[in-house]
Order: sequence, then C-alpha cells, then structure tokens
Amino acid sequence: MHHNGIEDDDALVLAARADVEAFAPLYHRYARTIYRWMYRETGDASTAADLTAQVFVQALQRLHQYRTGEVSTFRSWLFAIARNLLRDSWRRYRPASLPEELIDRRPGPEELAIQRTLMDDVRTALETLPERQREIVELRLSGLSMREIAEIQGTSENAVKVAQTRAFRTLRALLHQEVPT
Amino acid sequence: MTESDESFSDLYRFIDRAHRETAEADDVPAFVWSRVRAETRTNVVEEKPPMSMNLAVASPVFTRPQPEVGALQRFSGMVATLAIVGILAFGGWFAATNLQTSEGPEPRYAALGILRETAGNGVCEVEPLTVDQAVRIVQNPIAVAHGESATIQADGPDGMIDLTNWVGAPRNDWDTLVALAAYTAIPVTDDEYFSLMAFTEEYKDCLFAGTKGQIWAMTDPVVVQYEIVTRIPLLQPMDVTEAAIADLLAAPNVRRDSTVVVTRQWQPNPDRELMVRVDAGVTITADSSYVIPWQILDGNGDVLASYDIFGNSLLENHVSDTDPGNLVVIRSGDGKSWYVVGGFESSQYADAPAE
Repeated sequence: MHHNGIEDDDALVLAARADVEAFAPLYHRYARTIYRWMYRETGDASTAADLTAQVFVQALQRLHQYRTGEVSTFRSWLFAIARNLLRDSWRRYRPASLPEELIDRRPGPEELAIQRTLMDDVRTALETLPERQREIVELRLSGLSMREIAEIQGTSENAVKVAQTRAFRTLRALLHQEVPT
Repeated sequence: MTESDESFSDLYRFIDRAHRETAEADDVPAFVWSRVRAETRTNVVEEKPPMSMNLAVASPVFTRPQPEVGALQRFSGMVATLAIVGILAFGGWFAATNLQTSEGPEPRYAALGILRETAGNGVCEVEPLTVDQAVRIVQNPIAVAHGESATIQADGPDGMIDLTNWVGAPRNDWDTLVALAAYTAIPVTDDEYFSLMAFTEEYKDCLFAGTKGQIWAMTDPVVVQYEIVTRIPLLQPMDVTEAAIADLLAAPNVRRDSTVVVTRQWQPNPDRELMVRVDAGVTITADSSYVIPWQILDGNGDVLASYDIFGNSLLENHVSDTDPGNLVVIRSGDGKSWYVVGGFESSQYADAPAE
C-alpha cells in the first residue's frame, strides 16, 4: 500500500514518456527532498542544485527503463538514481580531484571560531556514520519505507532495521543536546 | 510507537528545522527544473555532430564525471565543427568570431544559471596563478585585490599557512543581485566597456579550456581564498599545503568527459547601454561592481534570448528554458585587473519583489 500521494506516480511516468512536461508533477513532488539530501551531502547550494538537476536529467533519460513491478515504487527507482549519482560521481570526485588523504575533515580553529549552525551539526553528525547507515538515514528522511530502502541497497528489510537502529543511536548521541528526547 | 520511530521523528524534526534555518538549504532553486528540461531536450542532439554547447556556469564547485566514457572514445568519431557565431558588435572592436565546437561530450559546471559555450579558438592564454600567488591570496586576498602582491604575511605558527585574514566568500545569490539593483546603474566609460568585453570573452574561453589556476587568476581573490581554504586542509606543514595547492591549480577548470551536448552559444551582450557600473560592493575587495548581461545565440549566430540587467527578455522569441543571466565583475584596487565575482540568473532578479 503506497502512501503520501505516490499512487499516481506510475501514471505520470507513462504520460512523461510521451511528453516531458508531464514529468513536472513528479519533479515538484520529489525535487525538494532530493535537493535537501544533496545539500546535506555537499554543504553547497550550487553543487546541490547541480546534482539535483542531474538526478532528474538521468531519470528522464532512463524513464523508458523504469518498469512497474521491478521495483516497488517509482520513488525508490528515483532515489536509487540519486544514491548512485552520489556514490559514483560526487563522493568519488570531491573535492577537485584531491586525494582523499589530503582532505582533513576535522574542523580547524578558524572553522570552530565561525558560528556553527544547526545544519553544520547535522552534516557533521551524518558524516560520522558508515556509508550504508548514512544512506539509510538519508533515504528514511526522504520518506522511503524500509522495503524501498532494502530494495535500493539490495538487502533485507531486517538488515535495514538493524542498521537504522544503530545509526539513530549514534545520531542521538551526537545531537543529544539538540534533539528533544 | 517504537523506540526507532520516536528516534526517527525527533531526528526528522531536528533536521527539518536545520534546513529551514539555512535558507539556501531549504528548497531547490527554481532554475533547476528549467535546466532539467533544457538538458533532456538538448541531449537528443547527441547523435549529431554538435555545434557547440551551453552550460550552466558559476563557482567551480563540481563537474559531472562520466567514467564510462574514456578519452579515446570521446575523441574518436567526433567531428569538430566550426560554428560561425556571427559578428559581435563590440563597437567595431571585435570582428566576426569563429566558435569552434567541442568534440561532443563536455562537462557541466556547478551552476548559477549562466549559459556558456565553447568559444573562440578554445584556448585560454591567461597566465595562471602560481603557488606563491595562491598562498598570498589565501593569506591576504584584500591586499592582492588592491595590487599589493608584494606583501606577504609571515607563515602561521608551526610553519602552517597564516589565516589571519580569512574573509569568507561573498555568496553568489539572489540577495546579492537584489542589493545591486537597489543602487543607481551608472553607464560605463569607453575604457571600461571595451576592457570588460575583452575580459569577459577571455574568461568565457578559460571556463572551458583553462585550468583552475587560470580561472582563479581572473577571479575575485576573496572568492579564490574561499575556494582554496574549503578544498585543502591547512593545518599541516606548509610544503604539503603548497603541493596540494599546486595540484589544485593545475586541474582543469571543467572536466572534459561529460556527455552534455547542446546547440546554443553564449556571449556578453554587446549593447553597451546594458553594461553598467553599480557603486555598491558585492565583495569587500571593491566599492563598485560591473554587471554584464549575457545573451544566447543559436548555431547560426542569431540571438535566441537576451536579457538586460533587470532580467527582462529583450526578444519575444526567446528560449524560455534557458537563462542568459548576468556576470558580476569588479576591478582591482590598482585598476589593472578585472575579477569575476560570480554569475547570477536574470530570472532570480526578475522574480525579486519590488524594493
């Protein structure tokens, strides 16, 4: 049983195969969620916008490959594209081809001196999670169900639940001063 | 409700609040859908020899890699096509310009929405920043912007780079353009006009053919400081920092292996009345800013879309899904150099509420 107004996604996909403008409702339904995810990942509005555009460009280019029944929802298909884009493009190439070992992610004194925002705390906390747990959290925040996430990660729902529990514990510990208990 | 559900609800509320408190993180910019439509439309061209391309441009943050397309594959089978863009009416200073096309797959660029093209002979001849110059910029961008390149700070403690003069980059956003709009637009002088046209043409070439070191030689030092500081860890020995900066400066400004191919071209609007000076600083390195509107051409050099600094389309027959935008430039304190601050979408301006 689908929820959150996604029942008509497949009908819109069919229409969009004939006319790209028919894709607009799907774009408006999911763009903000994907943009927010990309922003949390990159911390930069321009890059997040660029990645968001690429997600939807890829989705439109591959729309004919989407098959109802092969995945549980259009939404999980779309977010799988976003996830793969992040894994294959952004994470591999950031920042500017510098070797990973040269990237010191610890905040320097200058950074610490600058007033931190809630978003900084969120991004810092998310970065501490292993990639798979982080993906689960991001996909849950994006509204996907356990089943959809399991499908995207190619694992079982139970494995997703276990990893999610661990991720939430870590995040609660890191953000305990801000997250109401 | 399970413990996990409660945890998730708490977390969701917290993160939602974080997004709402950071304006740029809250919602997807309006231009993204336009770009999606434009690219999905233009990508159909891939089977034909491309004339040129247009791309969204802005701060060099991220380019789309296409690992499945190798260099040989990219260049083999590609037909380099020359597209005569037409005469750029630079007051008679610029004759017809040949726009050589790229060989198909080309990069995208982290975007503020300005369109770009492969232009001229595709060669960037700007002298790139040296590592020493980049270090000076990191240490004191204001001094560099004022032509005080000889001044260099002592290295920081323990041989690390000194960041006493960290400025933080101006944001290339809607607010900046609105702020500019609140000031009176002042006509540019002959010297400013011709100098800016030459500079922006060169900048356009370097966006494609240049390295980051070349583009940053044409960029507001404050922005360059931000770009370097946010890309390289600085709490490390100076020689390690310098090696990392050297790698960064040598990197291509845009990757060469994307598959985005479109058919439009891009140029500064030669109508000099539309190029203006605004006596408002968008960065602390200058008191005045110059706004340069762009226009989009088709493969024959005919203008498809053109906006003035107020974001109004000058032609009815414009392409609604692409936005020529504006480039904002400042001049160095010694008057010798132009520096790009950033690109701004015209539509952002057009949508701005009346002040």
